[in-house]
Amino acid sequence: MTSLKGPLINRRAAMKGAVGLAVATMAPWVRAAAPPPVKVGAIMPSSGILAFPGQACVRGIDLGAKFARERYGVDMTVVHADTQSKPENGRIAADSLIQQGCNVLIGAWDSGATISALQAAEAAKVPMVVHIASANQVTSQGFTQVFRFYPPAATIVRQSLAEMRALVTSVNDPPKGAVVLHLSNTMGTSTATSLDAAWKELDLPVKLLEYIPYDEKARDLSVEVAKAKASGADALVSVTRVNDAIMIIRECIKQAWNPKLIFSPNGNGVPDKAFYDALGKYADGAMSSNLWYNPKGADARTIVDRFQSTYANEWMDANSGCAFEAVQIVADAVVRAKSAVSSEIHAALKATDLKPILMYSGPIRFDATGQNTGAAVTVLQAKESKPRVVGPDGIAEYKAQYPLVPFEKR
Amino acid sequence: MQKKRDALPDRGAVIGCLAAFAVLAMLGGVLNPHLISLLTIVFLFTFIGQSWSIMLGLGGQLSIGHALFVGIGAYSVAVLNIRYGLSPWFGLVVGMALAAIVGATLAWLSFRFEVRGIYFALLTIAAAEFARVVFSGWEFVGAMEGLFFPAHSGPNSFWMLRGDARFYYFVSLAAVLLGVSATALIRQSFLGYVWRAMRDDEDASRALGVRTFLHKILVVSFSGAWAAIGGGLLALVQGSVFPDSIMGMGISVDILVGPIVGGLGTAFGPLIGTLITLPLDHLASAIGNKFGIPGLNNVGYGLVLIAAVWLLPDGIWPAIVNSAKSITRFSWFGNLQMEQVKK
Repeated sequence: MTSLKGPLINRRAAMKGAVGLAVATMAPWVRAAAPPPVKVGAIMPSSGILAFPGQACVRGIDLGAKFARERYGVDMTVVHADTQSKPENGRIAADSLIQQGCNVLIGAWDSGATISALQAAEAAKVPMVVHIASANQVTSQGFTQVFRFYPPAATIVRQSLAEMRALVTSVNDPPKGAVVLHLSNTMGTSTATSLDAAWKELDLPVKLLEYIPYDEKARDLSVEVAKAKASGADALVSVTRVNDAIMIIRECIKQAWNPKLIFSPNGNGVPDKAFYDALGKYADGAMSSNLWYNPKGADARTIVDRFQSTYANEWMDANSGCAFEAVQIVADAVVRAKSAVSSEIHAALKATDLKPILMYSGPIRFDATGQNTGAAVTVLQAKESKPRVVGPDGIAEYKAQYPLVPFEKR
Repeated sequence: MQKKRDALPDRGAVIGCLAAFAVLAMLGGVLNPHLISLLTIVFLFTFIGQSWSIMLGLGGQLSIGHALFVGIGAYSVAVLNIRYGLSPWFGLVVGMALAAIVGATLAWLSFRFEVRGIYFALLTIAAAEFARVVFSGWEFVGAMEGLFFPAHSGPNSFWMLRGDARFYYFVSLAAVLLGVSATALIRQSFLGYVWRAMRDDEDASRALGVRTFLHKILVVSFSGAWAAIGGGLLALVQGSVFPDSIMGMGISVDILVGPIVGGLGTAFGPLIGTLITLPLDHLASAIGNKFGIPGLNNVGYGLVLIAAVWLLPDGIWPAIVNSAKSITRFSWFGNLQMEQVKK
């Protein structure tokens, strides 16, 4: 009890007050140092015809958010929305997420839904990081809120053929002629068109003999593979989904056709678990070029192992990887912006200069249109029932195997 | 006496109908952007569903390939606007004309050789798939890479049909009002009676002097032109067109759910049905995402369809009308309900 006669403020009380005042004064500064809570909306085709890649993206987003919380200390809440693989739902999903208070969006895998979602993002001035969508128009239609990590299809194909050129010019007895077996859907046709232009531009020392398109609903590719074999080609360039990649290899075995090189620019098959489950040892040797994680990246092993322990039956593939990286791009922007306000995150995204955390890519920087200028592909080769990075040289796990071991000798 | 009352709906019913649309219009000014976007898609699918409902509910012709007409409308608007900078109004008119011609040709070919019923339905699927494949390989219309509208900025433009989400809400609401009015008027017109007679018994109506061959071509052509308008508006709202998404089987199936649940051939059935099924679909999808069950909406959708077909085989709107009639005189709305489709 304080004596009425004693001093009203003694030295101890003064010290306590001073400390208290200092803490109170510093509180806003301390608060500003921690990144603010941010709500991220993820728009993916989790159901419908694109459910397989859509759900892989959801896994990448969720793991990416956990990683970002630990790495950047960002209090990140992810809200998922499903486009049901329908373009018109992109806008509904984006509006719903913005309505729920999301400060930034990630999505939407297919270009139609992405454009639809971007209209809502544009109207609400909420930035959107496009983790995957390859149509040129995503960044060429004048949207100001778009930041695309993924390269346009033509860039992927050009880089892929540059890698293929490097391979065929460095081996003994390179292939002399190539045949292109490709899907006749959006992805297959646009890739085949870009491939034709890039092949001429890069002057590949392999003669392009024939293009053989096939329907994505085809149940049998025996005629197409027979045509490819009859063309006299010793290299098979394919643009496929997983199922048809499997069918093509099975037909090659059946028809005793042993191309020296099987290469798929931006194709599915080699990067997918189903390819190995279906083909076993016959999968080995096939190559593809894809956006993929950098196996020599500082955090890659930890992230991939963590993914594996979280999702035991799944692989960290390009879909999961790009989604994961998109979350890191957002987290980096939030930390630099020191704000969860959409306009400030937008400004920070424009100034992004990020060394990729998981994926193989140059520094992530967005040009005036919102396109990542550092995006790059890797070359994968199936080896011992896994996709292994064999190019570019700086990140290769193994040396590329060429020519392929004939199927009957495996 | 009965016919006269059919032709002139009573004032109360018209006022009730206009009041419902006035409420929807007012909601357009206050709802949040998410609901605006959702209702815009509801209205567009209602409008396209109305075209399908006229063809089956009044004309008795089953189409499972209505995406053909939707796609023609969408591509007409996209090509004329993106390639030539023309107003989408031109695209809508051209799309209507093309869809009407394609519909008439398809119907003529089919009915000329007595292809009817389920075989005609199969023919519509084949035609839609054929068109999808042709558009997939046609470079001029963007082939598989599709066509994209430029990002909209600046004030809304009625002439260029470009604007923000609320703008499209009102455009699509106006389209539905037009669709409801057109359906109601057709139902009460000579054409409506002829089509319903043809639907209920084609041979009998022909014996009574109805030129069924001509009228079947007319109803398919009319429905196709109507669906093309919806397709054109849908393309503008989603900002892009791809053969797979705008001409695929998915669209053909999505179109028919609302009218089946709401009530075939009725003026309000497609609106009621789509107002229930589409938001329910999105709600179930959101719940599924929250609990990590993607595709939950498909399960919910299936259950609603089973329940609707089982419990209310004529649709929700006729059930509402019947209930209302048992309470009060509900003459005009009563007349709007569909007589059971016998075929």
